[in-house]
Amino acid sequence: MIKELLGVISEIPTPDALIQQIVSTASNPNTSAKDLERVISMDVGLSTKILKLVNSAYYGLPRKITKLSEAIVIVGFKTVRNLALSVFTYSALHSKTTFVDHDKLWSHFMFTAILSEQIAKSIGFMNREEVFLGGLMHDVGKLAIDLIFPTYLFELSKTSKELGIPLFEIEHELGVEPHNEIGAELLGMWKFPEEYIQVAHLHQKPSLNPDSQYIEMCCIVHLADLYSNILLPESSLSYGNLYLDPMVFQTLGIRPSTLKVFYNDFRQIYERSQDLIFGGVENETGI
Amino acid sequence: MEVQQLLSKYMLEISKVSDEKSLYIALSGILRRITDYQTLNVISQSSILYSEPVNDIIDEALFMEYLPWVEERLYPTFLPKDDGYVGLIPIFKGKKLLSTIVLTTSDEPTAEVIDYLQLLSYLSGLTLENLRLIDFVDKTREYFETILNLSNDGIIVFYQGEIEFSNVKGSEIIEDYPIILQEIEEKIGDNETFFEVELPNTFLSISTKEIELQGEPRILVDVRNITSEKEVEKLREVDKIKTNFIANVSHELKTPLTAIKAYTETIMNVPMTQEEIREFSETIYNQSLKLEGILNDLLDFSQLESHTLKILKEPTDLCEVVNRSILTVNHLAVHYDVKIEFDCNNSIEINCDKKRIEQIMVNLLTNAIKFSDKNKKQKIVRIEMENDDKTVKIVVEDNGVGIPADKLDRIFDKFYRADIELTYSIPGTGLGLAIVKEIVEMHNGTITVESREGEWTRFIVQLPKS
Repeated sequence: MIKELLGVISEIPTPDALIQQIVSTASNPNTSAKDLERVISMDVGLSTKILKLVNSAYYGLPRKITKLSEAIVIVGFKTVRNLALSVFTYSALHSKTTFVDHDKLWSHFMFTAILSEQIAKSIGFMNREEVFLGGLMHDVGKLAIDLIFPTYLFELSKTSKELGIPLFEIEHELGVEPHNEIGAELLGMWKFPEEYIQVAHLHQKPSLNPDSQYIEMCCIVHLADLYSNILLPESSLSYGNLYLDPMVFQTLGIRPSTLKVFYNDFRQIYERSQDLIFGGVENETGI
Repeated sequence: MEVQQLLSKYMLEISKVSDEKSLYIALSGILRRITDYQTLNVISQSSILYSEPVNDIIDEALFMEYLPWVEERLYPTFLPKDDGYVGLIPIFKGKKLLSTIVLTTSDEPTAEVIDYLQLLSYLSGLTLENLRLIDFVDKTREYFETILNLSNDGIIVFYQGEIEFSNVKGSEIIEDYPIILQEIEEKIGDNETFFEVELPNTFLSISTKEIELQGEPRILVDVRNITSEKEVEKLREVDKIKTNFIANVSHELKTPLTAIKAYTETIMNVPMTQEEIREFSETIYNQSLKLEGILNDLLDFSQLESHTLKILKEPTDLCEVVNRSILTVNHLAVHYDVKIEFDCNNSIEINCDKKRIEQIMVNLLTNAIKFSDKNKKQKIVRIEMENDDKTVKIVVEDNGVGIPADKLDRIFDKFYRADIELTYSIPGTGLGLAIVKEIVEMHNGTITVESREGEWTRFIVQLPKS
C-alpha cells in the first residue's frame, strides 16, 4: 500500500532537477571539472555546503579547498556527486518535523555510507564512491515511511525498543511492506541506477538474492549497516539483536577475525567523521 | 578515446612483464595516451623508481604536501597548478601502497580520465604485488637452498623417478657413488624408509619420506655418510675383542704351564720309579709343545702385524705336506675320536713355502678336529685336492658343529672366535685362521669357507701353482 502511495504523496521530496543534473553530469565520462562546477554553482548554497563537507576532518585534506573546481579534481567527480546527494538527503530528512529524531537517522545514513566506503577500501573493491552512495541511500525507505505515516514509523521504532526486536523482524511478523522494499521502490522512482535499488532492497539480508549482480555492494552495505548500528546504537531507529548474514565472509573474502580488525579501525573512523555525521549541514538553507 | 583498445593492450603487456621496470614502462605508455603528461615519475618511499623522460624529476614542492594524503586515501588526485595539473596516482593492492605515480600535465582531467586512472591503479597494483611476490618467492627459495646446502646430509627430492632437487652434498654423493640411485629406487619400490648401503670404504645411511607439492607426490631422500661412525663402532669392537684375546691367551698359556709345574714338582718331591719319571716327563714335554705352539702363533701374528713375515718359495709336493700335517695332528684326532680321510692319488707339485703351507693345513685340521660334533657317531675330516693348469684347490671338510651363518664372514678376523664368549670349552687363541688367511694371501691364493650350522664346514684354499 505504501508503495502505491509513494508516487502520489506530495510529502515525499524528489531530487529536484538540479540534483538530477548533477548526478547525470558527474556520470558523463566527458564531463570536465568546469562542467560540474557550473552545474553545482547554479545553487550558491549547495557549493558552500559541498565545500564544507569536502573540508571536513573525514577527508583530512592537507589544506583547505576554497574552489569547487579544485575540490572536483582533488577528491574526484563522484565524491563531489555523493556530497551533493548527501546534502539532498539531509534536506529531505529535515523537510518535515515528525515524531522521530531525524538527526539520529541522518547520522545512521551518513555513517553507514562512510563505513561502506571504508570496507570497500579495505577489501580492495574498486567502486568505492558507488558503495558510499549505496550506504547513504540504504535506509531511504524509513524516510519515506516517516513522511507518509509519521506515527507508524514512530510506533514501529517504539515497539522495537520495548520488545528488543529489530524493526526488520517486526515488519516481517506484521506482514507489512518492509522498509527495504519501500526504499528500493523509491529509488526506482527517483531513477537511481539498479545497483542502489538492489542495495536498498537487500541490505538487511543479502542472501535473499545471492545471485544479484551487485551482491558485493549489498554485502558491503549490510556489513557497514551492522557496524553503524554497533558504533551508533539506536540511530537506525531499530533495536534488539543485530543480524550478520554469513554470506558476507565468502562474498567479500573476509574471515571472522577480520571483523575485530574492522571494529578497531572503524572506531577511529568514527572519531574522524564526527563533523560529517552530526549535523554537517545544519542551519543551512535546504534545497 | 579508444580506451578499450588501450586497456586491452595494457593488460596484454602487463601479463608479460617479469620485472617492475617493465611494468612502469607499460604503465607510462598508457598514461601518456590518457593524460598526455609532460613528465612522469614513479616514487616509492621518497626514492624515484622510474622517470619519463629519463632523469626528468618533478619538483617535490609541487605535491609533497598531498602525497601522504593520497597514499592514505588510495585514490587518484589532480592538484591544480598555475600552468596545469600535478597528478598523483597511487598503485596499491588492498590497503597496501606499492608505489605512487606523479605526473605533470596541462590537460584538465575529465571524470572518465579519473575512472580509468582508478582502474589502472588497481590493475597495476595487482601485477606489481604479484611481481613482488614472485621476487619474494625466488629470494625465499634461495634462502632455504642456502640453508639446505649447509647441511652435511645429502638431501634429494625425486619427482616421477627423476631428481628434482638436490642440495650440494646430495649432488656430491650422487657424483661419487652413482650406484646409490639404483639402490634407492629399489628400496623405495620395496617400501623401505630407512636403510644402510655399504660401499667399498663407505657406509651410507638413507631415509626416505613421501612428500607432496600441489598434490603431486614426491620422495624426499636424506643420505648421510656414516663411514666414520661405522669405523668408530668397529674400533670399539676390536678393542673389546683384544681384551677378550688377552684373557683368552693368558688362559691358554696357563693351562700347560700349570701342568708342567705340577708334574715337575711331583718329580722333584716324590720318590718315583724310572718308568714313572719317564711317563711324567712325556706329559711335561707334550705340554711344553703346546706352549711352544701358542707362542709360535703369537710370534707369527706379531710378524704378520709388522709385515716382517717372509715366505720362502720352493718346489713342494703337496701330498707330502698334507700327510705330514695329518701326522702332526694325529694324536689330537685320536683324542677327539675323529677320523681323517685323505687319499693322494697323484702327487701335485707347486711352488710355495713348505713350512707355512704345512702350518696352514695343521691349523685347518686342528680346527676341524677341535670343533667336531661329539653327538655324531662318526666324526670325519676329509681332505680333497683338485688341480688344473694354474691352480690347486685344497678342500678341508668336516661334519662338525658348523659355523652360524651370521658369523661366517668374521671368522678370518684377528682375535675372532665364533664362540666369542669366554667359555674356554674349546681352547684356542683366535689367531689361527687370521694367520692362515694372511699366509694364503701372501701366496696370492684365496681361502673361503662354507658351512651349515650343526652339519658341516668346508674350507677351500686355492693356491697358484707357480
